[in-house]
This record gives sequence, C-alpha cells and structure tokens, in this order.
Amino acid sequence: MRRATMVAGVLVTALALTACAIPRERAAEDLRPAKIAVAPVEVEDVVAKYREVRSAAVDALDAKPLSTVEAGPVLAVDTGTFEVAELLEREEFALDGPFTVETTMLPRFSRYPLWFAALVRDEETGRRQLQVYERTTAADPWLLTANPELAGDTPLPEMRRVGDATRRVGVDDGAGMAAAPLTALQALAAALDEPEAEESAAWAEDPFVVQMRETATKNAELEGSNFAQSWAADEQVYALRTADGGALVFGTLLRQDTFDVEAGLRVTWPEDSPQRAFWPDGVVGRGSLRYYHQVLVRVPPAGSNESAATLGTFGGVVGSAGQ
Amino acid sequence: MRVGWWRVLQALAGVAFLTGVAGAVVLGPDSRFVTGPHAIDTDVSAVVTQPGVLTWENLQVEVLAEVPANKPVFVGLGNSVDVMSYLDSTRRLEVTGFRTPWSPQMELIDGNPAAPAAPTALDWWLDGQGGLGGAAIDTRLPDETVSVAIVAVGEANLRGLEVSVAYGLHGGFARSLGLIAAGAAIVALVQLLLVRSEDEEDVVEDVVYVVVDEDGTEREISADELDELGSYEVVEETVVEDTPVEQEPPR
Repeated sequence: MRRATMVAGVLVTALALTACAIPRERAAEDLRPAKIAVAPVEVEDVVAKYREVRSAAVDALDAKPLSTVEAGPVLAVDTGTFEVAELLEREEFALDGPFTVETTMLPRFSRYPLWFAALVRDEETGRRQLQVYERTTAADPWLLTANPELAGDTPLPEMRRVGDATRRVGVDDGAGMAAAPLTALQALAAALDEPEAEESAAWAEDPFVVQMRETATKNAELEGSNFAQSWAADEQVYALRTADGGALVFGTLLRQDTFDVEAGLRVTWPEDSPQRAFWPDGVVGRGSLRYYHQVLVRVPPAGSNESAATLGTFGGVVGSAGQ
Repeated sequence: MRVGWWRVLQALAGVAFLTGVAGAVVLGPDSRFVTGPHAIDTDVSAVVTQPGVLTWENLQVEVLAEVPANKPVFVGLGNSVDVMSYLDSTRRLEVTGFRTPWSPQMELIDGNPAAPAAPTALDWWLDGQGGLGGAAIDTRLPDETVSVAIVAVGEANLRGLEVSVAYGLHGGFARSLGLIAAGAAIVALVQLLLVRSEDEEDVVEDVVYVVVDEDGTEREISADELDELGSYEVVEETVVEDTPVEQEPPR
C-alpha cells in the first residue's frame, strides 16, 4: 500500500509541476476588456507625484504647474486660492510632508475614463482628504479631480468590494438607495438654495449646510447692500457602493454670492477675506463671487432611518465679477 | 490497491509520456515555435490586436517588429482597456482575428496620423520595448484581456514593417523531457508490480493433514490420502506453500 501511494505521489507531483504553467485558452466570457483603475501598489506613487508638484507650485505661489496634476473644480479652487493668497500676500499651505494612504477605493472599468479614490492623511497636520484621481485617456496623466477633506476622525462607511475592486454606482441609479447620487446632490443644492422649502428640512442639521447658512446670514446682514445667493449641483459625479447598499458620492456644488450695493455707497470687506482680495477698493453697484464646493455625501440605503449627510468638503472662490 | 486502479495510474502515466513526446517534438530544444518574418504592407503608425484576439494565457510569446532605415519603433503588450484607449484616435491596422502560427485578419481604422503620446512615456505597458529599426518583446500572456501594439515613434510610420512571432512554453522542452521520464518510469514500475502480483497468485498451496494412527503415532498425509483412508478425526489442518524447504543438517 505504501508503495502504491509513493508511485501515485510521484506521478501527481510530476504532472502538477509540468501543468502549473501550461498555456490554456481563456473562456469567451473572460475575454471582455476590463481592468481595475490602478494597481494598489501604484496608488502611493500617484499621490506622491501630486503632492510633489503641488508643493513646487506653493513654493513658487504659481498655480500653473497644478494643471499637470489637477483638473476641474479642484484646479479652479486651487487657482482661486493661489490668486487670493497672492493678492493678500498670504502663505498657502503646502501639504508636502510625509503622508499615509489609509484606504483605497479602486473601481473596475471596461473603458476610459478611469478614476479611483484614496484617503490620504498628512502626517504633519493630521488632515485627511479623500482624493479622487481621474485619467481621461490612456495617454493622459492621473489628475486630482475631487478633494473633500474629512472633519477630524470622521469614519468612512465600509465599501462593497469584489476582490480588489470597489463597486461603482451610476449617477442616476437610485435602486436600493434613498436617492440616486445626482439626485442627492441636487437635493443638497436645493436645500441651500431654498432653506425655507419643505424638502430642505432633511438637511437642516447637516454641518456643511449649517455653516453655509451662517455665512449667508452674515453676508445678508451687511448694511448698504442686498445679498443674494444661489446654488446648483454640477453633473460631474463619482459614486461608490457602500457595504450596506448605500453610496458614497463625490460631487461639486456651484455657489454664487451677489452683492447689490445701494446707490451712492461703496462696500468694503475686512482684510484677509476673499472679497477684499478681488475687490480691494470695495464694490460700487453690483459684485458677485463664484465658489465651488466639493462635497462628499453619504447616501443611505432605502428604508434606512439615517438621512443623507456630508462627510467632507473642499471649496473656495473661483471667480469674480463687478467692482 | 486493486488491479483496475493500477491500470488507470499506468494509463495516466502513458498519457503524460505521450504529451511529453509531443511537446518535445513541437517545441524543440529552444522551447518555442517560430514563424516569420511576415511583411505587412501598410503606412499607418500603429498595428494593434483587438480585445479578445489573444485568447491564451501562460503562453510565452515573442514579437519582433522590424522597420527599414532605422526608423524608431515600439512593441508593447498591455491591458486592452489601456491599449485601445491610447490608439483610439490614431489611424491604425486592427488585427480582428488571428490563427496560429500566422493567419491574421486586419481592418484599417482611420484617424490621426500619429499616436497621441510617445509609447515609451506611458506607465501601463505590461511589457514594452522601443528601438531603432526594430524592437522585440518576450513575454508570457497573463490572465487578463490584453492587446499587442506595434507603434511608430514620432513622425515615422510603419511602412516596410516585418513581424516575426515565436510561441512557446517557458522551459517547455525540459518539462517535456520530465514528462517523458516520469511517464516512462511509472509505466514500467506499475507493469513490474502487476507482473509480480500475478506470479504470486500462481503459487500452489498444499493442504496437509496430521492424523493419529491407532497406535498413537502422528503422521502427515495429503488430502488424497485422507480420502482413501476413510473417516479419521482431523486433529490439525496446515497449509504448506510450494516453496523449497530447507533440510535440517544431519546431527
């Protein structure tokens, strides 16, 4: 019996050793093109390159190099921030020290554009940003397109993963969720745009909404001018499925603040404010500032007692009109 | 182990032996099968295999692209998602079907005369090599949908392109020899075991009875003698194998 076992073992081993790398034809259903946005080991390289270029831009207080590593609202906000910093002779924060990628969310794609998210903690400041990098075509570099910063140690929900890949959600796909990703962002914009509307009540206690309403209230109290504010949701949205069936949504809200100054008056703002940077001599007549606010919104699954909420934000002035 | 299982084992070893012989003959000592160079009459700046054309994994493939006049050329293997996006806007020849050793079907796709970026500047190639007048890759096809691309670098095109392809199995010849040796050894060993087992079955067994005479003397008799003697009380029945019995030396 022992002899038989030995012979069988020799045969099995010989066959296994020779068969382990034998070419085989892949099944037809496996031939569809697909890939995870980026290999997990390459995420740190992408983040490190971004921080290196941003650091150089901050050192030179010149936003031009940022266009090689940023795009869309992030580039617009950073360009605006640099402009304000330059006008106010203020130092911009570099975020160029050591960092840790705490977690990655790597969706699978069958065609470009590709994108992924990485939660990056700056070791010097402890700031945590859930950054989205996008590659439009295979000939383009990775560009930072969303950069919401989490407040403190705000925990992120568990994501739904299949192997190394994180599940995506279509921007209009509300199946199994309280709302589709784009719809949730539009509801948030509507809550900011019309605080008195009945639908806005669901967002009344959201920290971002509270902060924005306070700012709007202060602006409205400015003597000698009429203040108006409008909000809208940009259609560029990234959404990932959470383990509980909800979604984590990255979006951008467009905000416009308009000041109508009463005839014969000139309104000036305190030093160190964005308004002072764009209107150093104050505003006569009408002036408006445009802002981008990137938000990270948690959309709960359908039937949940939770309501949608912002987990992180990033924004700033991107343009002005009037004098 | 039952004889049937031994025969199954022997048959498997035989298959392994024949596979080894076939592998050694087809692959040869360099473990690969070479075809080419094949001329491709084109003036495009890229030739690429469509997703799903390369259906194998673990196959060792060597692609050599040669162009005249030391023109810069690049050969690369990448995930089809990357490769097709990269060349999407480029005028190119797409290989829509392929049979080994060399039977490609091609389709001309219109587009820009040059690729949007130098292939050597891209980070997603699984394997790639550039050169002047020629470039080659020697790579194993992975378990993902991949495309091979031959791309002219800069302003050059692929006029005068010749392609050679080699297929193989890394270490295939040595593995084939291993299969031949292991298969042959096991076939022989199992055969030996089975023959010996049959010999053992042929051994004749004698039954010897010990009987006690009326005077009390014990003696051994065969079964035939027992039948002749009639009824006796059998005291002991012993089975004696038909093997040589050593004689006790005389005292």
